Amino acid sequence: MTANRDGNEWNRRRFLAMAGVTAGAGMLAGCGGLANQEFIADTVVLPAADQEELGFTSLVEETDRREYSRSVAGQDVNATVESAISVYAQTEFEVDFGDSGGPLLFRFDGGEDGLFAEVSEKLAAPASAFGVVGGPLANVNPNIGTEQLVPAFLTVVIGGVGKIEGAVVAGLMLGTLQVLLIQTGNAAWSQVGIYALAALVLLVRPQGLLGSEVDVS
Amino acid sequence: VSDEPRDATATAAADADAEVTGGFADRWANFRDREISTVLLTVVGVAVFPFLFNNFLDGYTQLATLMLIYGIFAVGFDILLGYTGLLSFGHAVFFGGAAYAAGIFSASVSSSPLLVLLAGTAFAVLLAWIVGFLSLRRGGIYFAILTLTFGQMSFYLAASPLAFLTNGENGFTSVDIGSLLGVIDIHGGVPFPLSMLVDNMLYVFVAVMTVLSVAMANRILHSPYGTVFRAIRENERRAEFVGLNVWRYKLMAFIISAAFAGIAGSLFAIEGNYVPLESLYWTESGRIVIMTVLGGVGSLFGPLFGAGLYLYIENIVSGFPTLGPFWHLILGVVFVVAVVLFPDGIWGGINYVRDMVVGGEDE
Repeated sequence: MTANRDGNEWNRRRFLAMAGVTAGAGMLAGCGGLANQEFIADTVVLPAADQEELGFTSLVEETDRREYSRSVAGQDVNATVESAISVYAQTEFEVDFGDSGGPLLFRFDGGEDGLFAEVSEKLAAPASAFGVVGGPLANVNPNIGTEQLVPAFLTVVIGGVGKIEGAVVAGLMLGTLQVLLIQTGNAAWSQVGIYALAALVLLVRPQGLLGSEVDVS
Repeated sequence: VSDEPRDATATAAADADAEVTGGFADRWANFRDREISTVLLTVVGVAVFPFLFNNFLDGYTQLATLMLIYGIFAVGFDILLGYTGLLSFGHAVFFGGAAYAAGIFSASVSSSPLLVLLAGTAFAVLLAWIVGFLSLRRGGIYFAILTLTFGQMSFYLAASPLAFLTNGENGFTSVDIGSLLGVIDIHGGVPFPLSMLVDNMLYVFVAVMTVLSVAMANRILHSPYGTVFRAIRENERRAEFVGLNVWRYKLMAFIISAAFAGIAGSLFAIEGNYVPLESLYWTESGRIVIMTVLGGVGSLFGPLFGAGLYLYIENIVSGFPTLGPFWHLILGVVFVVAVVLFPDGIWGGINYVRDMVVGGEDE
Protein backbone atom coordinates (compact mmCIF):
# COMPACT_ATOMS: atom_id res chain seq x y z
CA MET A 1 0.00 0.00 0.00
CA THR A 2 1.29 3.40 -0.86
CA ALA A 3 0.01 6.85 -0.12
CA ASN A 4 -0.12 9.63 -2.67
CA ARG A 5 0.65 13.27 -1.94
CA ASP A 6 -2.74 14.12 -0.52
CA GLY A 7 -2.37 11.28 1.95
CA ASN A 8 -5.14 9.24 0.30
CA GLU A 9 -4.37 5.58 0.58
CA TRP A 10 -4.19 3.45 -2.48
CA ASN A 11 -5.54 0.08 -1.50
CA ARG A 12 -6.12 -2.93 -3.63
CA ARG A 13 -9.87 -2.40 -3.95
CA ARG A 14 -9.42 1.11 -5.20
CA PHE A 15 -6.74 0.04 -7.63
CA LEU A 16 -8.94 -2.73 -9.00
CA ALA A 17 -11.85 -0.34 -9.32
CA MET A 18 -9.70 2.05 -11.34
CA ALA A 19 -8.42 -0.77 -13.51
CA GLY A 20 -11.99 -1.94 -14.07
CA VAL A 21 -13.12 1.54 -15.08
CA THR A 22 -10.17 1.83 -17.42
CA ALA A 23 -10.82 -1.49 -19.11
CA GLY A 24 -14.57 -0.85 -19.29
CA ALA A 25 -14.17 2.55 -20.87
CA GLY A 26 -11.64 1.12 -23.28
CA MET A 27 -14.15 -1.47 -24.41
CA LEU A 28 -16.94 1.09 -24.58
CA ALA A 29 -14.78 3.25 -26.78
CA GLY A 30 -14.95 0.44 -29.30
CA CYS A 31 -11.28 -0.28 -29.38
CA GLY A 32 -12.00 -3.88 -30.30
CA GLY A 33 -13.33 -2.68 -33.60
CA LEU A 34 -10.17 -0.78 -34.21
CA ALA A 35 -8.04 -3.88 -34.14
CA ASN A 36 -8.74 -4.64 -37.76
CA GLN A 37 -8.87 -1.74 -40.14
CA GLU A 38 -8.84 -1.28 -43.87
CA PHE A 39 -7.63 1.81 -45.67
CA ILE A 40 -8.39 1.93 -49.35
CA ALA A 41 -7.37 4.78 -51.60
CA ASP A 42 -9.51 5.86 -54.52
CA THR A 43 -7.88 4.98 -57.78
CA VAL A 44 -6.98 8.11 -59.68
CA VAL A 45 -7.14 7.50 -63.39
CA LEU A 46 -7.43 9.64 -66.46
CA PRO A 47 -10.60 8.60 -68.31
CA ALA A 48 -10.03 6.95 -71.68
CA ALA A 49 -11.73 9.78 -73.58
CA ASP A 50 -9.42 12.36 -72.00
CA GLN A 51 -6.40 10.20 -72.66
CA GLU A 52 -7.24 10.19 -76.35
CA GLU A 53 -7.91 13.92 -76.47
CA LEU A 54 -4.62 14.82 -74.78
CA GLY A 55 -2.61 12.15 -76.53
CA PHE A 56 -1.69 10.26 -73.39
CA THR A 57 -1.15 6.54 -73.11
CA SER A 58 -1.36 4.69 -69.88
CA LEU A 59 1.93 3.23 -68.68
CA VAL A 60 0.88 2.04 -65.25
CA GLU A 61 -2.54 1.83 -63.65
CA GLU A 62 -2.27 -0.42 -60.70
CA THR A 63 -3.20 -0.84 -57.08
CA ASP A 64 -0.94 -2.06 -54.36
CA ARG A 65 -2.12 -3.92 -51.29
CA ARG A 66 -0.07 -4.21 -48.12
CA GLU A 67 -0.74 -5.69 -44.70
CA TYR A 68 0.59 -4.23 -41.50
CA SER A 69 0.45 -5.92 -38.12
CA ARG A 70 1.55 -4.46 -34.83
CA SER A 71 1.07 -5.43 -31.25
CA VAL A 72 -0.26 -2.55 -29.17
CA ALA A 73 -0.62 -3.04 -25.44
CA GLY A 74 -1.00 -6.76 -25.88
CA GLN A 75 -3.57 -6.39 -28.64
CA ASP A 76 -2.85 -7.44 -32.16
CA VAL A 77 -3.71 -4.62 -34.52
CA ASN A 78 -3.93 -5.32 -38.24
CA ALA A 79 -4.23 -2.79 -41.00
CA THR A 80 -4.63 -3.29 -44.69
CA VAL A 81 -3.55 -0.45 -46.91
CA GLU A 82 -4.47 -0.33 -50.53
CA SER A 83 -2.87 2.45 -52.51
CA ALA A 84 -3.20 3.27 -56.18
CA ILE A 85 -0.77 4.66 -58.71
CA SER A 86 -1.28 5.72 -62.31
CA VAL A 87 1.35 6.94 -64.73
CA TYR A 88 0.66 8.35 -68.19
CA ALA A 89 3.00 9.37 -70.96
CA GLN A 90 2.29 11.74 -73.79
CA THR A 91 3.11 10.01 -77.04
CA GLU A 92 0.86 11.02 -79.90
CA PHE A 93 0.88 14.78 -80.16
CA GLU A 94 3.70 17.25 -79.91
CA VAL A 95 2.50 20.04 -77.65
CA ASP A 96 4.76 23.04 -77.31
CA PHE A 97 5.61 23.37 -73.62
CA GLY A 98 8.69 25.57 -73.99
CA ASP A 99 12.13 24.03 -73.74
CA SER A 100 11.12 20.88 -72.00
CA GLY A 101 11.44 18.60 -75.10
CA GLY A 102 10.69 14.91 -74.77
CA PRO A 103 7.42 13.32 -73.78
CA LEU A 104 5.51 14.61 -70.74
CA LEU A 105 4.96 12.27 -67.88
CA PHE A 106 1.93 12.56 -65.66
CA ARG A 107 1.89 10.70 -62.43
CA PHE A 108 -1.13 10.30 -60.19
CA ASP A 109 -0.45 8.93 -56.80
CA GLY A 110 -3.22 7.49 -54.68
CA GLY A 111 -2.04 9.63 -51.79
CA GLU A 112 0.05 7.09 -49.96
CA ASP A 113 1.64 9.75 -47.74
CA GLY A 114 -1.70 11.03 -46.55
CA LEU A 115 -2.85 7.48 -45.99
CA PHE A 116 0.10 6.72 -43.79
CA ALA A 117 -0.71 9.70 -41.59
CA GLU A 118 -4.25 8.41 -41.23
CA VAL A 119 -3.05 4.89 -40.55
CA SER A 120 -0.75 6.01 -37.77
CA GLU A 121 -3.49 8.20 -36.30
CA LYS A 122 -5.97 5.36 -36.25
CA LEU A 123 -3.48 2.89 -34.88
CA ALA A 124 -2.44 5.38 -32.20
CA ALA A 125 -6.00 5.71 -30.91
CA PRO A 126 -6.26 2.33 -29.12
CA ALA A 127 -2.83 2.91 -27.67
CA SER A 128 -3.90 6.12 -25.98
CA ALA A 129 -7.17 4.55 -24.82
CA PHE A 130 -5.19 1.86 -23.03
CA GLY A 131 -2.94 4.47 -21.53
CA VAL A 132 0.12 3.29 -23.40
CA VAL A 133 2.42 5.80 -25.03
CA GLY A 134 2.33 5.30 -28.77
CA GLY A 135 6.11 5.21 -29.08
CA PRO A 136 6.32 2.32 -31.54
CA LEU A 137 3.73 3.96 -33.81
CA ALA A 138 4.66 7.63 -33.86
CA ASN A 139 7.91 8.63 -35.46
CA VAL A 140 10.50 9.56 -32.89
CA ASN A 141 11.75 13.01 -33.86
CA PRO A 142 12.91 16.14 -32.03
CA ASN A 143 9.40 17.61 -32.25
CA ILE A 144 7.70 14.68 -30.56
CA GLY A 145 7.56 16.57 -27.28
CA THR A 146 6.11 19.71 -28.85
CA GLU A 147 3.12 17.74 -30.09
CA GLN A 148 2.48 15.81 -26.87
CA LEU A 149 3.17 18.56 -24.36
CA VAL A 150 -0.08 20.51 -24.61
CA PRO A 151 -2.48 17.50 -24.56
CA ALA A 152 -0.58 16.02 -21.60
CA PHE A 153 -0.73 19.32 -19.74
CA LEU A 154 -4.44 19.67 -20.46
CA THR A 155 -5.13 16.14 -19.26
CA VAL A 156 -3.55 16.89 -15.91
CA VAL A 157 -5.37 20.21 -15.50
CA ILE A 158 -8.83 18.99 -16.43
CA GLY A 159 -8.39 15.93 -14.26
CA GLY A 160 -7.50 18.11 -11.32
CA VAL A 161 -3.93 19.04 -10.43
CA GLY A 162 -2.52 16.67 -7.82
CA LYS A 163 -5.02 13.88 -8.45
CA ILE A 164 -3.76 10.73 -10.11
CA GLU A 165 -7.28 9.35 -10.60
CA GLY A 166 -8.20 12.67 -12.21
CA ALA A 167 -5.45 12.34 -14.78
CA VAL A 168 -6.57 8.79 -15.61
CA VAL A 169 -10.21 9.82 -15.99
CA ALA A 170 -9.34 12.92 -18.03
CA GLY A 171 -6.98 10.95 -20.26
CA LEU A 172 -9.68 8.36 -20.86
CA MET A 173 -12.27 11.04 -21.59
CA LEU A 174 -10.10 12.84 -24.11
CA GLY A 175 -8.90 9.62 -25.72
CA THR A 176 -12.42 8.19 -25.89
CA LEU A 177 -13.80 11.35 -27.44
CA GLN A 178 -11.02 11.39 -30.01
CA VAL A 179 -11.59 7.75 -30.93
CA LEU A 180 -15.34 8.27 -31.08
CA LEU A 181 -14.99 11.20 -33.45
CA ILE A 182 -12.64 9.23 -35.69
CA GLN A 183 -14.84 6.15 -35.65
CA THR A 184 -17.99 8.09 -36.51
CA GLY A 185 -16.41 9.61 -39.59
CA ASN A 186 -15.50 12.97 -38.07
CA ALA A 187 -11.75 12.43 -38.05
CA ALA A 188 -11.20 16.05 -39.09
CA TRP A 189 -12.84 17.21 -35.87
CA SER A 190 -11.07 14.77 -33.57
CA GLN A 191 -8.37 17.21 -32.43
CA VAL A 192 -10.75 20.17 -32.23
CA GLY A 193 -13.12 18.05 -30.17
CA ILE A 194 -10.69 17.29 -27.37
CA TYR A 195 -9.80 20.96 -27.00
CA ALA A 196 -13.47 21.94 -27.02
CA LEU A 197 -14.12 19.39 -24.27
CA ALA A 198 -11.14 20.72 -22.32
CA ALA A 199 -12.41 24.30 -22.63
CA LEU A 200 -15.86 23.22 -21.50
CA VAL A 201 -14.50 21.42 -18.43
CA LEU A 202 -12.30 24.39 -17.54
CA LEU A 203 -15.24 26.78 -17.81
CA VAL A 204 -17.70 24.63 -15.88
CA ARG A 205 -15.37 23.06 -13.34
CA PRO A 206 -12.01 24.86 -13.45
CA GLN A 207 -10.53 23.01 -10.48
CA GLY A 208 -10.64 19.87 -12.61
CA LEU A 209 -12.96 16.87 -12.64
CA LEU A 210 -11.69 15.39 -9.38
CA GLY A 211 -9.85 18.44 -8.05
CA SER A 212 -10.73 20.07 -4.78
CA GLU A 213 -12.11 23.59 -4.52
CA VAL A 214 -9.57 26.30 -5.25
CA ASP A 215 -9.72 30.02 -5.87
CA VAL A 216 -10.04 30.32 -9.62
CA SER A 217 -11.12 33.91 -10.12
CA VAL B 1 7.70 56.34 -21.64
CA SER B 2 7.71 54.72 -18.23
CA ASP B 3 6.08 55.21 -14.89
CA GLU B 4 9.09 55.77 -12.69
CA PRO B 5 9.15 58.50 -10.08
CA ARG B 6 10.25 61.84 -11.52
CA ASP B 7 11.82 63.60 -8.59
CA ALA B 8 15.13 64.32 -10.28
CA THR B 9 14.66 68.04 -9.55
CA ALA B 10 14.61 67.59 -5.81
CA THR B 11 17.74 65.46 -5.86
CA ALA B 12 19.54 67.93 -8.07
CA ALA B 13 18.54 70.99 -6.05
CA ALA B 14 19.87 69.41 -2.88
CA ASP B 15 23.27 68.81 -4.37
CA ALA B 16 24.90 71.79 -6.06
CA ASP B 17 27.59 69.66 -7.72
CA ALA B 18 24.98 67.61 -9.52
CA GLU B 19 23.19 70.66 -10.83
CA VAL B 20 24.31 70.20 -14.43
CA THR B 21 23.43 66.51 -14.40
CA GLY B 22 20.16 67.14 -12.62
CA GLY B 23 19.28 69.91 -15.02
CA PHE B 24 19.94 67.61 -17.92
CA ALA B 25 17.94 64.78 -16.38
CA ASP B 26 15.16 67.22 -15.68
CA ARG B 27 15.03 68.53 -19.21
CA TRP B 28 15.33 64.98 -20.53
CA ALA B 29 12.43 63.87 -18.34
CA ASN B 30 10.38 66.81 -19.57
CA PHE B 31 11.16 65.95 -23.17
CA ARG B 32 10.48 62.27 -22.68
CA ASP B 33 7.12 62.74 -21.09
CA ARG B 34 5.64 64.61 -24.00
CA GLU B 35 3.70 62.41 -26.36
CA ILE B 36 5.17 63.99 -29.46
CA SER B 37 8.71 63.13 -28.39
CA THR B 38 7.83 59.45 -28.01
CA VAL B 39 6.47 59.49 -31.54
CA LEU B 40 9.50 61.39 -32.82
CA LEU B 41 11.90 58.94 -31.19
CA THR B 42 10.04 56.05 -32.81
CA VAL B 43 10.12 57.75 -36.21
CA VAL B 44 13.87 58.33 -35.96
CA GLY B 45 14.35 54.79 -34.70
CA VAL B 46 12.51 53.04 -37.51
CA ALA B 47 14.06 55.39 -40.10
CA VAL B 48 17.68 54.69 -39.24
CA PHE B 49 17.16 51.07 -38.15
CA PRO B 50 17.45 49.34 -41.56
CA PHE B 51 20.55 51.39 -42.44
CA LEU B 52 22.34 50.45 -39.22
CA PHE B 53 21.01 46.89 -39.29
CA ASN B 54 22.03 46.20 -42.88
CA ASN B 55 25.46 47.81 -42.63
CA PHE B 56 26.69 46.93 -39.17
CA LEU B 57 24.75 43.91 -38.02
CA ASP B 58 24.76 41.69 -41.09
CA GLY B 59 21.01 42.14 -41.54
CA TYR B 60 18.72 42.60 -44.49
CA THR B 61 15.63 44.76 -44.99
CA GLN B 62 13.16 41.88 -45.13
CA LEU B 63 14.23 40.76 -41.67
CA ALA B 64 14.04 44.35 -40.42
CA THR B 65 10.44 44.42 -41.68
CA LEU B 66 9.66 41.17 -39.89
CA MET B 67 11.21 42.54 -36.69
CA LEU B 68 8.90 45.56 -36.78
CA ILE B 69 5.88 43.31 -37.40
CA TYR B 70 6.70 41.15 -34.39
CA GLY B 71 7.51 44.36 -32.53
CA ILE B 72 3.93 45.56 -33.01
CA PHE B 73 2.69 42.15 -31.86
CA ALA B 74 4.90 42.32 -28.75
CA VAL B 75 3.92 45.91 -27.91
CA GLY B 76 0.28 44.81 -27.95
CA PHE B 77 1.03 41.72 -25.91
CA ASP B 78 2.78 43.88 -23.33
CA ILE B 79 -0.37 45.93 -22.82
CA LEU B 80 -1.96 42.72 -21.58
CA LEU B 81 0.99 41.06 -19.80
CA GLY B 82 3.00 44.03 -18.59
CA TYR B 83 0.35 46.61 -17.84
CA THR B 84 -2.76 44.60 -16.99
CA GLY B 85 -0.95 41.58 -15.56
CA LEU B 86 -2.75 38.90 -17.56
CA LEU B 87 -0.69 36.11 -19.13
CA SER B 88 -2.39 34.92 -22.30
CA PHE B 89 -0.91 31.78 -23.79
CA GLY B 90 -3.04 31.77 -26.91
CA HIS B 91 -2.20 35.03 -28.63
CA ALA B 92 -1.24 33.13 -31.78
CA VAL B 93 -4.96 32.77 -32.45
CA PHE B 94 -5.23 36.54 -33.03
CA PHE B 95 -1.98 36.83 -34.94
CA GLY B 96 -2.59 33.80 -37.14
CA GLY B 97 -6.34 34.37 -37.32
CA ALA B 98 -5.81 37.92 -38.57
CA ALA B 99 -3.21 36.68 -41.05
CA TYR B 100 -5.67 34.13 -42.43
CA ALA B 101 -8.52 36.65 -42.47
CA ALA B 102 -6.30 39.17 -44.26
CA GLY B 103 -5.12 36.56 -46.75
CA ILE B 104 -8.60 35.28 -47.54
CA PHE B 105 -9.93 38.86 -47.76
CA SER B 106 -7.15 39.78 -50.20
CA ALA B 107 -7.85 36.76 -52.37
CA SER B 108 -11.62 37.08 -52.53
CA VAL B 109 -12.71 40.66 -51.74
CA SER B 110 -10.14 43.38 -52.24
CA SER B 111 -6.38 43.42 -52.59
CA SER B 112 -5.90 46.97 -51.30
CA PRO B 113 -3.32 46.70 -48.47
CA LEU B 114 -5.17 49.14 -46.21
CA LEU B 115 -8.47 47.29 -46.53
CA VAL B 116 -6.70 43.97 -46.02
CA LEU B 117 -5.13 45.36 -42.86
CA LEU B 118 -8.49 46.60 -41.66
CA ALA B 119 -10.19 43.26 -42.36
CA GLY B 120 -7.54 41.26 -40.52
CA THR B 121 -7.57 43.57 -37.51
CA ALA B 122 -11.38 43.62 -37.36
CA PHE B 123 -11.41 39.82 -37.40
CA ALA B 124 -8.88 39.67 -34.56
CA VAL B 125 -10.94 42.13 -32.49
CA LEU B 126 -14.17 40.18 -32.96
CA LEU B 127 -12.44 36.91 -32.15
CA ALA B 128 -10.87 38.47 -29.05
CA TRP B 129 -14.29 39.58 -27.89
CA ILE B 130 -15.50 35.96 -27.91
CA VAL B 131 -12.33 34.32 -26.59
CA GLY B 132 -11.86 37.05 -23.96
CA PHE B 133 -15.50 36.86 -22.90
CA LEU B 134 -15.09 33.15 -22.18
CA SER B 135 -11.51 33.03 -20.91
CA LEU B 136 -11.65 36.02 -18.56
CA ARG B 137 -14.16 34.21 -16.38
CA ARG B 138 -11.11 32.58 -14.87
CA GLY B 139 -7.95 34.15 -13.57
CA GLY B 140 -4.27 33.30 -13.25
CA ILE B 141 -3.14 29.96 -14.60
CA TYR B 142 -6.70 28.96 -15.54
CA PHE B 143 -6.91 31.99 -17.83
CA ALA B 144 -3.59 31.02 -19.43
CA ILE B 145 -4.76 27.43 -20.00
CA LEU B 146 -8.11 28.52 -21.41
CA THR B 147 -6.44 30.83 -23.92
CA LEU B 148 -4.02 28.03 -24.78
CA THR B 149 -6.97 25.70 -25.33
CA PHE B 150 -8.70 28.14 -27.65
CA GLY B 151 -5.42 28.69 -29.48
CA GLN B 152 -4.92 24.98 -30.08
CA MET B 153 -8.56 24.58 -31.07
CA SER B 154 -8.13 27.22 -33.75
CA PHE B 155 -4.94 25.55 -34.98
CA TYR B 156 -6.68 22.21 -35.49
CA LEU B 157 -9.76 23.95 -36.95
CA ALA B 158 -7.58 25.58 -39.58
CA ALA B 159 -5.63 22.37 -40.15
CA SER B 160 -8.51 20.12 -41.00
CA PRO B 161 -12.23 21.03 -40.81
CA LEU B 162 -11.70 24.50 -42.30
CA ALA B 163 -9.08 23.38 -44.80
CA PHE B 164 -11.38 24.42 -47.65
CA LEU B 165 -10.84 28.02 -46.50
CA THR B 166 -7.32 27.87 -45.14
CA ASN B 167 -5.74 25.33 -47.47
CA GLY B 168 -4.87 23.11 -44.50
CA GLU B 169 -1.31 22.09 -43.76
CA ASN B 170 0.09 23.74 -46.86
CA GLY B 171 -0.75 27.18 -45.54
CA PHE B 172 -2.72 29.85 -47.37
CA THR B 173 -0.85 30.52 -50.60
CA SER B 174 -3.27 32.67 -52.62
CA VAL B 175 -2.60 35.96 -50.83
CA ASP B 176 -2.96 38.71 -53.41
CA ILE B 177 -1.77 42.18 -52.44
CA GLY B 178 -2.38 45.08 -54.80
CA SER B 179 -0.88 48.55 -54.82
CA LEU B 180 -1.20 51.00 -51.97
CA LEU B 181 -3.97 53.55 -52.62
CA GLY B 182 -4.00 52.33 -56.20
CA VAL B 183 -0.68 53.95 -57.15
CA ILE B 184 2.19 52.82 -54.92
CA ASP B 185 3.66 49.39 -55.62
CA ILE B 186 4.09 47.94 -52.15
CA HIS B 187 6.86 45.56 -53.13
CA GLY B 188 8.68 48.19 -55.17
CA GLY B 189 11.45 50.68 -54.42
CA VAL B 190 11.22 54.08 -52.74
CA PRO B 191 11.75 57.61 -54.17
CA PHE B 192 15.04 59.48 -53.69
CA PRO B 193 15.21 61.20 -50.32
CA LEU B 194 13.94 58.09 -48.55
CA SER B 195 16.05 55.71 -50.60
CA MET B 196 19.17 56.81 -48.71
CA LEU B 197 17.80 55.06 -45.64
CA VAL B 198 15.38 52.39 -46.87
CA ASP B 199 15.32 50.39 -50.07
CA ASN B 200 11.84 48.97 -50.08
CA MET B 201 8.30 50.34 -49.94
CA LEU B 202 7.02 47.47 -47.80
CA TYR B 203 9.37 48.50 -45.02
CA VAL B 204 8.05 52.07 -45.18
CA PHE B 205 4.48 50.78 -44.93
CA VAL B 206 5.27 48.55 -41.96
CA ALA B 207 7.35 51.32 -40.33
CA VAL B 208 4.45 53.78 -40.57
CA MET B 209 2.18 51.18 -38.98
CA THR B 210 4.77 50.63 -36.23
CA VAL B 211 4.91 54.34 -35.44
CA LEU B 212 1.11 54.55 -35.37
CA SER B 213 0.91 51.46 -33.14
CA VAL B 214 3.50 52.78 -30.70
CA ALA B 215 1.74 56.17 -30.63
CA MET B 216 -1.58 54.44 -30.01
CA ALA B 217 -0.14 52.24 -27.23
CA ASN B 218 1.52 55.29 -25.68
CA ARG B 219 -1.74 57.24 -25.75
CA ILE B 220 -3.70 54.35 -24.22
CA LEU B 221 -1.16 53.68 -21.49
CA HIS B 222 -0.85 57.32 -20.47
CA SER B 223 -4.57 57.92 -20.40
CA PRO B 224 -6.73 57.36 -17.30
CA TYR B 225 -7.80 54.14 -19.01
CA GLY B 226 -4.21 52.86 -18.94
CA THR B 227 -3.91 53.89 -15.31
CA VAL B 228 -6.83 51.59 -14.54
CA PHE B 229 -5.00 48.73 -16.28
CA ARG B 230 -2.03 49.31 -13.99
CA ALA B 231 -4.30 49.50 -10.96
CA ILE B 232 -5.73 46.08 -11.89
CA ARG B 233 -2.22 44.69 -12.26
CA GLU B 234 -1.17 45.99 -8.85
CA ASN B 235 -4.22 44.89 -6.93
CA GLU B 236 -7.32 43.64 -8.63
CA ARG B 237 -9.43 43.51 -5.49
CA ARG B 238 -8.57 47.04 -4.47
CA ALA B 239 -9.40 48.29 -7.96
CA GLU B 240 -12.76 46.59 -7.64
CA PHE B 241 -13.43 48.17 -4.23
CA VAL B 242 -12.64 51.59 -5.63
CA GLY B 243 -15.65 51.03 -7.85
CA LEU B 244 -14.09 50.03 -11.15
CA ASN B 245 -15.68 47.35 -13.28
CA VAL B 246 -12.54 45.22 -13.37
CA TRP B 247 -13.95 42.57 -15.67
CA ARG B 248 -14.84 45.12 -18.34
CA TYR B 249 -11.39 46.72 -18.22
CA LYS B 250 -9.73 43.32 -18.45
CA LEU B 251 -11.83 42.42 -21.46
CA MET B 252 -10.94 45.72 -23.13
CA ALA B 253 -7.23 45.22 -22.40
CA PHE B 254 -7.52 41.77 -23.99
CA ILE B 255 -9.26 43.18 -27.06
CA ILE B 256 -6.84 46.09 -27.46
CA SER B 257 -3.96 43.69 -27.21
CA ALA B 258 -5.58 41.41 -29.80
CA ALA B 259 -6.07 44.41 -32.11
CA PHE B 260 -2.29 44.95 -32.10
CA ALA B 261 -1.81 41.23 -32.76
CA GLY B 262 -4.31 41.63 -35.62
CA ILE B 263 -2.37 44.53 -37.16
CA ALA B 264 0.82 42.47 -36.89
CA GLY B 265 -0.84 39.35 -38.31
CA SER B 266 -2.29 41.20 -41.30
CA LEU B 267 1.08 42.82 -42.00
CA PHE B 268 2.67 39.37 -41.71
CA ALA B 269 0.35 38.06 -44.44
CA ILE B 270 1.04 41.14 -46.60
CA GLU B 271 4.79 40.88 -46.05
CA GLY B 272 5.17 37.19 -46.83
CA ASN B 273 2.32 36.84 -49.35
CA TYR B 274 1.68 33.60 -47.51
CA VAL B 275 0.14 32.41 -44.24
CA PRO B 276 1.74 29.29 -42.74
CA LEU B 277 -0.40 27.02 -40.57
CA GLU B 278 2.27 27.31 -37.85
CA SER B 279 1.22 30.92 -37.29
CA LEU B 280 -1.65 29.47 -35.22
CA TYR B 281 0.39 26.87 -33.33
CA TRP B 282 1.02 27.25 -29.61
CA THR B 283 4.75 27.74 -30.18
CA GLU B 284 3.87 31.08 -31.78
CA SER B 285 2.12 32.10 -28.55
CA GLY B 286 5.21 31.00 -26.66
CA ARG B 287 7.45 33.04 -28.96
CA ILE B 288 5.60 36.25 -28.24
CA VAL B 289 5.76 35.66 -24.48
CA ILE B 290 9.54 35.17 -24.74
CA MET B 291 9.98 38.25 -26.95
CA THR B 292 8.00 40.43 -24.54
CA VAL B 293 9.74 39.16 -21.41
CA LEU B 294 13.13 39.43 -23.11
CA GLY B 295 12.44 43.03 -24.07
CA GLY B 296 10.99 44.01 -20.74
CA VAL B 297 7.43 43.71 -19.51
CA GLY B 298 5.76 46.91 -18.48
CA SER B 299 7.74 49.16 -20.82
CA LEU B 300 6.61 50.66 -24.08
CA PHE B 301 9.77 50.20 -26.16
CA GLY B 302 11.15 47.06 -24.53
CA PRO B 303 9.06 44.54 -26.51
CA LEU B 304 10.31 46.05 -29.79
CA PHE B 305 13.88 45.26 -28.71
CA GLY B 306 12.87 41.81 -27.49
CA ALA B 307 11.28 40.94 -30.83
CA GLY B 308 14.36 42.27 -32.64
CA LEU B 309 16.81 40.26 -30.54
CA TYR B 310 14.76 37.05 -30.83
CA LEU B 311 14.52 37.27 -34.62
CA TYR B 312 18.17 38.30 -34.85
CA ILE B 313 19.27 35.13 -33.07
CA GLU B 314 16.80 33.02 -35.04
CA ASN B 315 17.78 34.37 -38.45
CA ILE B 316 21.28 35.84 -38.29
CA VAL B 317 23.05 34.00 -35.49
CA SER B 318 21.70 30.71 -36.86
CA GLY B 319 23.74 31.39 -39.99
CA PHE B 320 27.05 31.88 -38.14
CA PRO B 321 29.71 29.31 -39.09
CA THR B 322 30.19 27.25 -35.91
CA LEU B 323 27.67 28.79 -33.51
CA GLY B 324 24.83 28.64 -36.01
CA PRO B 325 23.39 25.20 -35.32
CA PHE B 326 23.25 26.03 -31.60
CA TRP B 327 20.98 29.04 -32.02
CA HIS B 328 18.18 27.50 -29.98
CA LEU B 329 20.61 26.95 -27.13
CA ILE B 330 21.96 30.50 -27.49
CA LEU B 331 18.42 31.84 -27.35
CA GLY B 332 17.80 29.86 -24.17
CA VAL B 333 21.01 31.11 -22.56
CA VAL B 334 20.23 34.72 -23.55
CA PHE B 335 16.76 34.34 -22.07
CA VAL B 336 18.07 32.89 -18.79
CA VAL B 337 20.81 35.54 -18.50
CA ALA B 338 18.35 38.34 -19.26
CA VAL B 339 15.85 37.08 -16.70
CA VAL B 340 18.49 36.52 -13.98
CA LEU B 341 20.50 39.73 -14.49
CA PHE B 342 17.82 42.06 -15.83
CA PRO B 343 14.40 40.92 -14.62
CA ASP B 344 12.96 43.92 -16.45
CA GLY B 345 14.41 42.72 -19.72
CA ILE B 346 16.56 44.60 -22.21
CA TRP B 347 14.72 47.84 -21.54
CA GLY B 348 15.28 47.42 -17.81
CA GLY B 349 18.98 46.90 -18.58
CA ILE B 350 19.11 50.03 -20.73
CA ASN B 351 17.42 52.03 -17.97
CA TYR B 352 19.86 50.66 -15.40
CA VAL B 353 22.88 51.64 -17.49
CA ARG B 354 21.38 55.07 -18.22
CA ASP B 355 20.74 55.68 -14.54
CA MET B 356 24.32 54.71 -13.74
CA VAL B 357 25.60 57.23 -16.29
CA VAL B 358 23.16 60.07 -15.75
CA GLY B 359 22.65 59.30 -12.09
CA GLY B 360 19.46 61.29 -11.87
CA GLU B 361 16.65 58.81 -11.92
CA ASP B 362 17.28 56.14 -9.36
CA GLU B 363 16.12 56.63 -5.83
